[in-house]
Amino acid sequence: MIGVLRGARAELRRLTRPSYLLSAIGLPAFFAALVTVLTFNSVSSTTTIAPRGGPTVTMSDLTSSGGFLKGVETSFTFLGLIVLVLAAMAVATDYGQGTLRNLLVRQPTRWKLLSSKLLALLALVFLSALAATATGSAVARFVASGAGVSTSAWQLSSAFGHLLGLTAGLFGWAAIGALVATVLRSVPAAIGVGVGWALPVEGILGSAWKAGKAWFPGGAFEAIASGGSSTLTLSRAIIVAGIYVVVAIAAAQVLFARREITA
Amino acid sequence: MPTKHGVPYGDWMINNSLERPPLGADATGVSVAITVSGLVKRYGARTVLDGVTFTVPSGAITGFVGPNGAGKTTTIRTLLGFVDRSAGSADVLGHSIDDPASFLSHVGALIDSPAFYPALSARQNLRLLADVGGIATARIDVVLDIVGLTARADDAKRYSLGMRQRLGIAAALLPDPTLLVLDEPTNGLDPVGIQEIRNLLRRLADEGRTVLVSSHLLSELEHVSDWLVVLDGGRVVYEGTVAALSGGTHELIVSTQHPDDLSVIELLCAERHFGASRSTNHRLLIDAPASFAVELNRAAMDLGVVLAELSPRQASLEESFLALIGGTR
Repeated sequence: MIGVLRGARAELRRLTRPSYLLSAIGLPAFFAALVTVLTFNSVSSTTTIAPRGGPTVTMSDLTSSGGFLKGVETSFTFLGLIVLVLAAMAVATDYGQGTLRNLLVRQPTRWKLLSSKLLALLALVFLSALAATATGSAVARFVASGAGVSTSAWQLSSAFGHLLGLTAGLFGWAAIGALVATVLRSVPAAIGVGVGWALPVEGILGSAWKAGKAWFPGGAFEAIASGGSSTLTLSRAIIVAGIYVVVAIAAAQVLFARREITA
Repeated sequence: MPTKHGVPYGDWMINNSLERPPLGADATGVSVAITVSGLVKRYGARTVLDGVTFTVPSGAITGFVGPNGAGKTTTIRTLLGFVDRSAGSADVLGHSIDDPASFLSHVGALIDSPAFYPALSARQNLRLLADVGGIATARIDVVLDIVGLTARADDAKRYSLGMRQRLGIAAALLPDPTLLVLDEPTNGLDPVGIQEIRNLLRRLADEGRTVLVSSHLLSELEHVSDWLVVLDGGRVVYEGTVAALSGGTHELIVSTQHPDDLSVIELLCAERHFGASRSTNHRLLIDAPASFAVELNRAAMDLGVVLAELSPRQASLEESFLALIGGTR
């Protein structure tokens, strides 16, 4: 375990460099703020919005105790894509740059090395979720009165459960990103395949099979981040997403351990 | 020269009457850092390593030489656990390569070109590796000093190739390794850079470390290597000292008072199964040891042939090397 923690600290040295950190924190914060403004300004007492086939947001949602977080929840697809790309980069870069050789000489137990990376990614995902939640909440407070949304029922304490769910949902995308990167060992290919699945493929499959939409990885991760959806309760979403994450990490670990390092 | 394991190596080098160092430290007291036995690596139908067998003595610099594609890097990757072998066995520092974790904490390695995170400085890169390996951060300044990068430690983006190579060696030295494995560390360096690396390797070996260093150019390693392993076509074609390699091939140069008599000498060589070829200036080059000169002189006299010149010529190291790798093709 100490080896994993040491490795995670090392990985965080790399992941917390300014440019990477800006992407991990700045982009989620930006999208959370943007979607929050759009959400609050699009919903009136008579209209609802359902962005990209996602959960419908109504005025009563916005005035509920967790209403200030609805914009962040609506932006989950964007946040998930950012995390997927960052995770794919974090894992695939070591193949492309040849730095994996150095790392494996110093930590030859490969499952420990990959676990270190995932642990560091979890920390980074938490920071992303925190940035998105904090920014989205602050912006919601700012735009609520202008959009005619009552804030009297809002409770800050609901943000903690939301943060946990958002972190869990985003880590699901990180696990998928790590798996794709381990399979493809190339940053562009991993990003292409990961984003390709998250946007068009899962969207098309979801449109063709509406009942199954919530059971796809993105649907399950989003359900966790939203505290459950109309088709997938939170407890069921945790199970489904948990299976996806466990399978993704297990598959990545097996591949990572067995593959020859020729780069 | 005492090794890091406290076993004398120098006596064996001086009294080197063995074709190859023994496998194991028990027979002659020679400590061996790496033993490779019948290593085979196949990629589909292609055999990259074809029964590679050699040993790397402790506390010395072993040059691992061979042309591009000979299998040097594959051998090194196999020894470090990066690549699975198809057959054969190998031990590193007394541990099977099946369990790299058992010996890699004592090994420093630079494989292929030096690889680092470009966004991080040299010091940050080394700190990252120190974290992963559980190495005290105090070692970072030590290794930076050893490779002469202290003044540029907080930079890395503007490093020259030579500086990157030195940073790669610094990374390899981080764990204060018993065994240092360097794959083509002089690639792309100018003559001054190559000399610097040679001096560094010598210094490291003098500290008692074992150094296995590969190159596709014998000339880069001949002056610094205590022991040579020559690989070609996935096979070891030579293992021994540099001196023995250069002394292994001889020629006799012969000219006769009457040029026509050269054919008599050719017949004498053919009878004794020595190859002979004519060169310019009516000379004959005979592939034979120097000891054959006496016999040849006597035989020529008996036949009434007067020799104008009879001199041995030792092949240069490069010629011997080329003969070795050419002989397997």
